[in-house]
Amino acid sequence: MQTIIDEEHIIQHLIADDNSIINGLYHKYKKGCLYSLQQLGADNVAEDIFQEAFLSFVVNVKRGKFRGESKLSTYINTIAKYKFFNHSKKRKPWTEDISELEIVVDENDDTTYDSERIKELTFKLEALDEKCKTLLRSFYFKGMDLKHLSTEMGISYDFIRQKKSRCIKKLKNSMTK
Amino acid sequence: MDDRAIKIHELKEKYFVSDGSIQDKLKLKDIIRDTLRTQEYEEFEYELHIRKALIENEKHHIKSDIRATENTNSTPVRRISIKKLISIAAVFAVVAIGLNSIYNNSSDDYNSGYLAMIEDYQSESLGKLSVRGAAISDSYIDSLKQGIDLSLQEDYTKSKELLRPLLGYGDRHELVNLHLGIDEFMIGNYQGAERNIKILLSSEDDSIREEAEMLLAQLYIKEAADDQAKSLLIKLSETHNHKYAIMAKEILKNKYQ
Repeated sequence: MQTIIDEEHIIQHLIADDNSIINGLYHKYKKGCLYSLQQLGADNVAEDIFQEAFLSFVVNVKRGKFRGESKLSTYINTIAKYKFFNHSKKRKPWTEDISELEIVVDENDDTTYDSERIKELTFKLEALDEKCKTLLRSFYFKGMDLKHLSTEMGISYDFIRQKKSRCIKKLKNSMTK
Repeated sequence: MDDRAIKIHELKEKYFVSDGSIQDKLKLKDIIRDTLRTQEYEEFEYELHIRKALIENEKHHIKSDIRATENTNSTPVRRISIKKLISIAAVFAVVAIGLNSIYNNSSDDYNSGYLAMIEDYQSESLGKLSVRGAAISDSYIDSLKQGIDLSLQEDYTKSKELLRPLLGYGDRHELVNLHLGIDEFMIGNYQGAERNIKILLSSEDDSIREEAEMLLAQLYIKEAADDQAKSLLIKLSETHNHKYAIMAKEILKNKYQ
């Protein structure tokens, strides 16, 4: 029972963007996850895979993608397993396994991302004013609907919709690509 | 907003906000693709990039948080024994050879994957190598390192030339045999590889025996000896604490189910 309470707290902290617990979590899950990875034969890439898995794990929990269907340690180990199979040199053999995983590891869609554009966007997003930053982050990262946001911010739905469009426009105008 | 604009807005909002499965999202994306005109779809793709950038930003911040704390600790020098080094080399070769050979991917995929692994391996392990074992002479270690290097550089013939004379060095010959087995495998001399590997199946050293067993399983698969491969993989998958138990299970699932 203690574990469940602890895990609920962890989830609450992360959803609330409390990053103070992140370092503790990193060390809490590291040993077990590395052991699992080593069992898969991931000896000298295990640390890197764990770090990637940990980042996806935190991001997913923050975004509310973790549905509480397993213990957090199982969840992070599953992500790590997925990442290792993927890392096993993108040679197709493991793709069948990947499709069996019933979890969202990263944002799995078929989009081809333009890495240069992503790079520039990460900088430009940081440079936006706080209101735009919060709005775009709440909608695109947290996945909060505009109706809910309008209530939370005490503004009309139409206004927030227009505000979002203006923020995107502002972002676009600041971009070279 | 007109009806069309409202519909587009609702579809996009549903996509970004919904908590559905991957399949649901892909279906929804197909609907969006069918509904939106080219320029509208480009706008949508731009929004997808925004989301991705926000995720990357978040990861960057989390990484910085971890790194900031890590840097306050003193990092111990990573020490690695020569035995461990060879074991790592073997693991990488086994993974590279094995997975590739099972599924017969294109040689381009294989080469790029293998080279990437060499890069990882050398930067992470060889670069930080601190050899232990006073009983081993420097020339032995040098030859061993060179042999492994050559093998990792895909010069298997030269690697063999360098490693073969080392077979006379007492109990260390097991490590040499393991790597010779890998060299022979890569050259395509499966009988030679099998000879080198089978000697190691009775090794008292778990790490060597486990590497050899997995490599032998890969050999059987390569030679289409499915019954032998399957029975060995079952054995590995059922051996508690075997380094490759899970990998064996995965191969059985993919290849023989």
